[in-house]
Amino acid sequence: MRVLRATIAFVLALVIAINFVPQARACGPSSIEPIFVFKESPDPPFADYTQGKIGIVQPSHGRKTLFIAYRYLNDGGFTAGEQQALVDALNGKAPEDEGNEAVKEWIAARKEIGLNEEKAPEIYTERRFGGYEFFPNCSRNAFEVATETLKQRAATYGAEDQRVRSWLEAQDTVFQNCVGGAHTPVELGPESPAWLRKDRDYQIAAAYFYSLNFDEACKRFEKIALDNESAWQQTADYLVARTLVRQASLTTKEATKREVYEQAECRLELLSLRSAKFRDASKKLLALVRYRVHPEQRVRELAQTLTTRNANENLRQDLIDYVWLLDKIEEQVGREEKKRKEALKPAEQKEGSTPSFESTASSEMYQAIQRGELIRLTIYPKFADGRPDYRNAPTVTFKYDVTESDVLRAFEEKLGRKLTTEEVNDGKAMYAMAESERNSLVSPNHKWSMSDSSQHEGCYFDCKALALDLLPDCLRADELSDWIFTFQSQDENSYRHAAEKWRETDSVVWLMAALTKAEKASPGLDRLLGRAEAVQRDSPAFPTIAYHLVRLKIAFGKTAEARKMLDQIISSQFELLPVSAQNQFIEQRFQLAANLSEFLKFGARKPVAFYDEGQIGKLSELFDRSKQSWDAELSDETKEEYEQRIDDQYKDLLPWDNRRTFDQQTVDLFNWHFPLDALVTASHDPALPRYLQRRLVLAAWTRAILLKNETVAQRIAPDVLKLAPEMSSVFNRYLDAGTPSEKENAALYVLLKFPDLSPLVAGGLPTFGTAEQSDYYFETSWWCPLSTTEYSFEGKEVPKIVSRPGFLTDEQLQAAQHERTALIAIGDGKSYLGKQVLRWAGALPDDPLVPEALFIAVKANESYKYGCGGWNSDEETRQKAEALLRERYSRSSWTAKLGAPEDN
Amino acid sequence: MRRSAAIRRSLSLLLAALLLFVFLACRARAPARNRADEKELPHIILWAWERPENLEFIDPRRFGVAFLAQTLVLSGEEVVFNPRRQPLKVAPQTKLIAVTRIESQKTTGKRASLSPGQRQRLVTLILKTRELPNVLAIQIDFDVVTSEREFYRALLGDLRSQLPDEVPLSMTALASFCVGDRWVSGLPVDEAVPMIFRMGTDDQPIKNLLAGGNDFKEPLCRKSYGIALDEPLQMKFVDSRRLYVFNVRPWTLKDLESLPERIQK
Repeated sequence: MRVLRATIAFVLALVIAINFVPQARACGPSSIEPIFVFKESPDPPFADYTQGKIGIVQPSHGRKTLFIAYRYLNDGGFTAGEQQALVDALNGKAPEDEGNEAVKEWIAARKEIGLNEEKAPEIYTERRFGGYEFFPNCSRNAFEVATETLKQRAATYGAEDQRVRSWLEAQDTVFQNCVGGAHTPVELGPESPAWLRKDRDYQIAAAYFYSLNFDEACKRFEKIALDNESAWQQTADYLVARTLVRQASLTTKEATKREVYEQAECRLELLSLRSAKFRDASKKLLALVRYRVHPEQRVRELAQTLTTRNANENLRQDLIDYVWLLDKIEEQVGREEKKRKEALKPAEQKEGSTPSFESTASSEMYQAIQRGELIRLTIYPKFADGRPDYRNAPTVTFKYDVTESDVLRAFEEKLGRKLTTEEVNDGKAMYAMAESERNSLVSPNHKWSMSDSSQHEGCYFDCKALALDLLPDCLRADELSDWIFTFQSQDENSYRHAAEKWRETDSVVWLMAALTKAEKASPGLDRLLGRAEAVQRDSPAFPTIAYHLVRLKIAFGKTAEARKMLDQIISSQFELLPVSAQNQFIEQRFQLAANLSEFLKFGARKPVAFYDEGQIGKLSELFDRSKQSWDAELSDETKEEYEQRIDDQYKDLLPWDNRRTFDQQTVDLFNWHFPLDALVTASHDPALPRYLQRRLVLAAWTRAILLKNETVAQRIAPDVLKLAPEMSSVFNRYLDAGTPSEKENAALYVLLKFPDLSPLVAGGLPTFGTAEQSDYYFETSWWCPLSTTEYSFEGKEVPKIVSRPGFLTDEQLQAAQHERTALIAIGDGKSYLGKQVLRWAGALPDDPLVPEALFIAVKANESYKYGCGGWNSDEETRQKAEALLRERYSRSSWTAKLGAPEDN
Repeated sequence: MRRSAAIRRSLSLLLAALLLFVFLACRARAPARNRADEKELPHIILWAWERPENLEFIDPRRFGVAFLAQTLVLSGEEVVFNPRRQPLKVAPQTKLIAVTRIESQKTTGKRASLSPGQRQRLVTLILKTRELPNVLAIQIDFDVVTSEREFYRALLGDLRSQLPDEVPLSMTALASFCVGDRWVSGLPVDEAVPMIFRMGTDDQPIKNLLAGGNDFKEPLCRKSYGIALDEPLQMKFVDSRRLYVFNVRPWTLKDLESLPERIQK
């Protein structure tokens, strides 16, 4: 009896355990990628850039970045405060926070006066306007002023004072309007003290402001602005202007918008002259109004300010406004140009809301619908299970005055049957909607009422491809804007314009722009090059100019001169350049490698930073951030376990913060054009640091094994041991093997135990571990066949072309081609090794290592997402290996490790 | 007598254990509920993203709209609230899905605290989107990194428990979540919309997989598709699945007319 109960308890426990153990979650490949060159921004941290370390200025840089470069190129600079503002601007930090802190302080101030309330009111600062969009209604300043006023009143009259409580209650009412509704505090009579009445008048005016009753708000603020006895007189004076600005910004009618903005502009111009307290605020608001009403004038003002004004306290906002205006004006130009081109197209090629038609009849029908003469209805018959049958839905066109019953009868005729009840209801709804749509079409107000302007930053169109001539005068009239657009433009006339400007001004900014755009055949190049050669090393323009001088020398075939120039740059204070610039020069030098040593010396570069799932930084920074991310509630691990795991994960990675590594270009050259012998020679070159020699040695040994070149494999085996001592326990078995067959199997075992081995050289950060350490999860293990195609920028698959290094002989290149062909024929590493294991097991079934080898073969040939062909796997080999393991080695621990058959 | 009663009790327990086992084993295979179908959301849903959209011209019986209602940015301990700023116009009968986009490490480059307080704030803000007119369902768009998955799982659990039972809860999913990496399995959502566009390094493997007639392995991902108008797909679409469509430009009538051609490849 006891046994029966125990059995049942066990079964129950087992049932629960089986069904509630969480699924094992597979791990994907490491995602930490090195970044060698930052193309769109300066190298992080941005402080170096804002202090003048501008490196090689690129057309792909953002406009804020280019502005900073422009100032330094013109012998300008920035104060420490301005530099910080620029760093914030580059980091995309908004000039003002969202108001969260101010709201928190307001809530705290409310609490401090000892209110007895269960819960503080929920405060939202955004208000819905229109249908689904919001705008920021209550600003940070509103809460700051309210907090300060509450504290003052409480300090003066006492926190418990009923009048102070009344004040607070009214203020809560004001803030209710932030999110919606129209809530107004109660007016006070003469029985209330003057200070409270004045405060109340102000609160009521504010309530109307936040509830979007701008006329009433304006009227009340005007009245307060005339009241010499009100503490809010000056504030109200300013708020009249602010009310006008808010009203204008929310008005959709263009004429009214402009008119109200102009009223605000007048008011603000006066305020900025007469109000000491609100002078700065008025100027800022005036800048906003001018930005909206006179954008072309404003952009010129801003360009002027940015290029000439020093110690600008408003630098960040000015720069943001300036770049925003450049983007918006440019986008408008792009949109108009698109419309112009569209208008020139034949009708059938036009995009837009008018569809293309198969026939004239279709086009005429569409027009008739638009005019309200016809309506077109579709009914969706249902499948037996109630789903709509979209493929067989009939559509019928009717005259606009058709009756509902005629419509239903027509569909019954079309379908050849009676409509179901549901279909009748659908038809009636459809009829009602068609009527409603027709009414809308024939309504006098039917037109697109959406404003063309978008609040989205940047350009929806391919703005860099805009012809410079299309840009309005306001964008070309000042040098800063003209230079930015020219520098970034892909217009073929941009070189001509830059060169002209350089000839006019002899300035280094235009010299740099012209040189950046110059090609071999560019007119007037000689003079440009002559001037460029004279730029001094200490000029901020030097890196950019030197880069393009080298580029052009290479284009002209003057490789010796280019090499010499680069060697001079690299050997002299090179480390003072930003790392991106260093890497760009090294890449140029790499292209000019005359021999193997140079190839190796310049083929590896030190990353500027690393990218890991949205984070960018040094490995040490990524490590620190990872360590701090343990969450007690969400983690299965203890803090110590978590931190240990992170330590283990980063232990071998951290040194790479200060190491060079191969990029994809270098790796391609190794894998396409280096035969085995050259790889071995390269691995011994003193130009290569030990940690990179290791990569080449391991690739060479693996390749030698696969190509059955035992001579080379034996020759470099000592190097393998020296550079990868952790392999010794397994590798020594290979070294000790006597017969060729034993050697072959021992080498196979080495490959199985170290799944990062590959005949191909890898770049980036290394991964190297044992099969056990990977938990026998082989998603990206071993190798995939070298791809002979790649995807172009447009997404098309094209043949892959890897240019040949000049220092390799024809024999070497031919040998490399043979090896490449042989390796491609070997195919996917997992499948190949699996088949080799089956051969081994067939030949030596009693070899004690065979069960483990079979187990690895099974796991290797499971289906993995990031496998060589995306989930493609050698299922046949996997099944054979598994069957053999289970049948012949049923008692082996490796078979037990495999688990029950259906678990795989 | 006592002994036979005890045996009967024990056997009853055993039977209960077996029944429990059968129930739990079948649980995974039982067809999952889809509230989106219960609400009769249209077959095709247009994503209306961060730009002005006038969708008054669409047929609300055939097309619904999933509009970006807000973007919530997890920054440290805070949840930064960025509501929609661009106008959206729809006909009154249009059925709407309010989409909340959540951004964190992948966008900000910084880890968020992922605290319970932060999670609760998210829930509060997401639930508020139901107050917008004609919103029938909620969709969450959160491109999580690995370390954020458990947080997201807990968030979805909180949302599901606080939403009325009949309100659909949808999520977007990277297509890779729907094949090899199936961490979305078992999430308390009515659907995980696999976004078969802008897939980066997964682009070719997944498109090849689908072109070969294969399907997503994860059941939650087999209720809908997410496609982009500018990325043609060579695959067979299952008619019964809802189709979400993204457009890089504002929607036009011509865009809608080109849809059947894209779907029926």
